[in-house]
Amino acid sequence: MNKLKMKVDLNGLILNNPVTVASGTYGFGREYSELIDLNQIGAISVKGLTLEPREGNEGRRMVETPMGMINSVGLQNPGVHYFIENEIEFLRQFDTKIIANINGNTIEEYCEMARILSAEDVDSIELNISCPNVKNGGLAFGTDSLVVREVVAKVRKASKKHLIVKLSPNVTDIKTIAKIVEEEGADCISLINTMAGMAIDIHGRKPFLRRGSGGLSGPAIKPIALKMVYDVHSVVNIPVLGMGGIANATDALEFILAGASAIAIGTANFSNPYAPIEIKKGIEDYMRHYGEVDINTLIGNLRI
Amino acid sequence: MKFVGKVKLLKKQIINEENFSFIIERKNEMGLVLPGQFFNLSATKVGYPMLKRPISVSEVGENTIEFTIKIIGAGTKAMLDYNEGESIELVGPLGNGFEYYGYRKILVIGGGIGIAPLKGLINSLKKETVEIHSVLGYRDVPYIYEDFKARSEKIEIMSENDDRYRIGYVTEPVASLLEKNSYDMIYVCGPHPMLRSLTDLFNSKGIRAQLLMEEKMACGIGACLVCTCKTKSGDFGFKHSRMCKDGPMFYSDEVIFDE
Repeated sequence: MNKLKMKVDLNGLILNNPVTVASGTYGFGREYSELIDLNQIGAISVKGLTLEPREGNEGRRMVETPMGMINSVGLQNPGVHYFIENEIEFLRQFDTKIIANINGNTIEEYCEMARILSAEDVDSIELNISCPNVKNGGLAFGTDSLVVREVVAKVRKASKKHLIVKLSPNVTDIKTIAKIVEEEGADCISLINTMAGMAIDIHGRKPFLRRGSGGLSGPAIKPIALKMVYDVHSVVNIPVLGMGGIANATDALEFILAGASAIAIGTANFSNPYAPIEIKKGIEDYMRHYGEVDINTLIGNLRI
Repeated sequence: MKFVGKVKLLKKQIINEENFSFIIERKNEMGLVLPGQFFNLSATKVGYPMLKRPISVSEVGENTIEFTIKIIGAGTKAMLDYNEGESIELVGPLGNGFEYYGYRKILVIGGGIGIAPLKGLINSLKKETVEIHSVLGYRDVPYIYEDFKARSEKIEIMSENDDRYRIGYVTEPVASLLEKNSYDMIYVCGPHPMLRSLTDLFNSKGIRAQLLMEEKMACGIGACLVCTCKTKSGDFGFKHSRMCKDGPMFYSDEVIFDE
């Protein structure tokens, strides 16, 4: 059997294979390490970090909806310093790349975290300007093009690390935002974060979630995510890390053909802990079936 | 040790119109399975509803595991479609489970389907060494109480609507049992309002119980943080513990009921 070339280059961040796991769905890898071999995952984007520890939102935090779920965890995390002291070393045991997902209340906080992480053993920083579940920051940074420009430019100055910017789908024109992110020096764009969503308990006449609404993820958002990945790939020259409802190899291949250099699995990990491994194998099977030897020839290779 | 994969459904039993039970094969890879732990079960073969359902074990046999399941929504309803002999995808055992070594006199208090995991508990305790008092509460006609009757030195069965039994809530008989007895440990599983009023009672008496709690879950292993239990932290603080991983058993004096 021919050896397949599965390595992908996200503009300086080289992954052993294009299958990664999305921030917020994988903690810091510890729990899943008991179930699957993390060496088989291209990269792990860790739970969204903030400068100070956060307890997150009050429950209830999740409601399942048709082929998806809405969460409002609210960035519960032990803070960037705890991550540095207690989690990096654990993740380093595995042959996978570490992406530190960061979230600020202010632009200065984003910069501060980027500076702190610059000195640490992480492979990339993912600037999350798209979390819908926090009062300050989050989504607010990702939807206003002037603010996007400022936060990306300043974080770029604050750190020389590989920089991914994670975009929100809750915008009118994602292409404009993507181009700004590229202009300001991001190395890679990841998309999409969750879509703002809501579900109501008609008997109690209240939203299911304590906070009213949250972020919708899962197969329900996949076609939307795919279109956005396609659109963004068509207007930028930096690589795209695609995500949004990917649950099997077919989904993953759709994203790769639409232009994603790598993909992330999120919600599918919950219903199938083996999803990353099965999807990687499915991509390899597809390549063998079509006589492809290098995953890179599939990226954006749509016949249109 | 956690098992991820498919197991055979050996037996499906309809208990009444709201409840049923599954007996599945127990795999070696599951390791030790404790009462109070749960498994995440696929609700369907077709993948919708998508998320697995966390179901407590109601009996741990040598080669089998029993789940007693209440139909509360689309997922648990869909589970009824599994036939004996078919495979069910599951992950587990998950969560911490009950702590029960060394106790000689215990009180178990169950409400509705919350009685199921307590059944697993009492059946794993040696008859000669543990004295069990039970209080079981139901909305309507009692079910799965036989093992409690057989195993308990004292038992009180309550119903809200079935007047062949004592009408009322579990809190009343529990209060009088606590007047006359002292227990090495108290175990509670049931609906949220019941857990809350019993916790108030325990706190007022300065005693603690093991509460087996529940919450809507996604990953079930402690990674996604969507299921949360508000617990005390320090003298005045709180933290959001993970229901699935740090629980689902919490001591009553740790939990903050503020809803």
